[in-house]
Amino acid sequence: MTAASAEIIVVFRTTHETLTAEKGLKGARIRTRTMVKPRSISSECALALSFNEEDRERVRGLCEEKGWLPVGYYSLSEDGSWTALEED
Amino acid sequence: MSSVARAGAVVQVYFDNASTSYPKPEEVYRATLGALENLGGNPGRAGHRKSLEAARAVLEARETVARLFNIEDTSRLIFTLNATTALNMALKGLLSAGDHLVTTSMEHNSLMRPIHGLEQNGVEVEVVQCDIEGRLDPGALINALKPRTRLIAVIHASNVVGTINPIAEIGKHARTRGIPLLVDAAQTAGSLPIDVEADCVDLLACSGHKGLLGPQGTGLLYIKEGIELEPLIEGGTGSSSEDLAQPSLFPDRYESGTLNTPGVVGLGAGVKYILEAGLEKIRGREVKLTTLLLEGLNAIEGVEVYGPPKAEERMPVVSFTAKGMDPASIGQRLDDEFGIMTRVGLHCSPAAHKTIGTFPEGTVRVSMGYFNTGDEVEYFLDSLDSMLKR
Repeated sequence: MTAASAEIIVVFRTTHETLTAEKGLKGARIRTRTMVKPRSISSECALALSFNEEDRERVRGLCEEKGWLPVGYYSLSEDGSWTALEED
Repeated sequence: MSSVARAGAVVQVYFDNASTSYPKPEEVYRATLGALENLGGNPGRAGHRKSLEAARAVLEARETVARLFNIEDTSRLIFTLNATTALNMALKGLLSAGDHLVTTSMEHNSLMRPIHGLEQNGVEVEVVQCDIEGRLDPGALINALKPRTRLIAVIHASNVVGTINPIAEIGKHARTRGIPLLVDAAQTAGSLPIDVEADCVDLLACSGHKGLLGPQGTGLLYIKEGIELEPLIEGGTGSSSEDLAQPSLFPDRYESGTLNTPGVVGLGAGVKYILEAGLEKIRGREVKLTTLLLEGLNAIEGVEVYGPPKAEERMPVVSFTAKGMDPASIGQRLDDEFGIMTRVGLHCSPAAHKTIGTFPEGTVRVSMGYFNTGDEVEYFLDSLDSMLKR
């Protein structure tokens, strides 16, 4: 992640879905990091994928194209909590 | 004398591939050992690198295996311990008292025993009789259907005589009537093309350690979208840990407990090998070996061969008896005196042996695989012939 770019995380429902998306994003040369899902985000899956905000539209487009179903996208607030991006 | 016998070394001919295939491709050994040595973590159970590496390797294997069967949604391919576990998951997850099941008289005990148990609990079971060569008449199967029929369960090919069932034809009839089709592909996966979409297969169960060339302790169950199975096993999945209810999502719903990661990775390597070799090449070699074996066996006096006469109609699984000799004695002597490993008896398929007329004595079964050779078949035929003449 670059210091200048905000971090977004996308959460899926299962490890299978998360790692399928991880493979697809890496295949599309989108820098991504697989991490333990923050406790405050509700999902069946224990993992999340983080990426740079600048790649958000590409990630969203790939999810649509591939039929991946994210539970939601979240950004890090100033107080350290993760906030759902409502438009997603 | 064949070149196998002339080789000088201790002869070992493995003709028990219908039980489990041997040898495996080098790639399978390397992948399995590599997973044990290097992956280490528990897939889907943590976010640390070892856990993630293991989970990625499982995903890779799942995608590879799914490709072989044209399974689009890879999450619906469940890894199991073996075909028996997969069949139990399908049968017990789907059927309940009052349901009607149609199956065949050539099934393995991996299906016959669970359906016997289900029958005790109120499931009505109808077994369609196959002919003496193990052939199923699809028309007879369709005639056995009732409005209450909840499942058709069919073995793709017999583990006793190798007779192949027309699953695509059965699948089309089943789909037209809205009845799910469960196929036991333990003897065919990795040799015959199986396309779950084109063949209208709703549930596919098979071993990972036979024709798919993976390690023992592996198998799989494909569950088509729309088929609801109650999970046979419940427990930890690494997901929804706060909820006591079993997760609803695939594959977690059916994969509680730690997976056999080295086995699954090895299975993935086995299927990759098959995809690269090509089913046509594998099947072609098996048909050639089976033709050689059938011709040779039929030429030996006193030997009776069971199943279809043409190699193209069967898998490389051939059962025979020899007049006046106990199959167990033949099998023992083949191993002791010639280093040839076959399997004798009922092969966990008493119903199939009743169908072909060899119950309760059973047969000697020769089951070949991709790595067997024509020289080995000739050596076996020479050995059997000399043994029977003594």
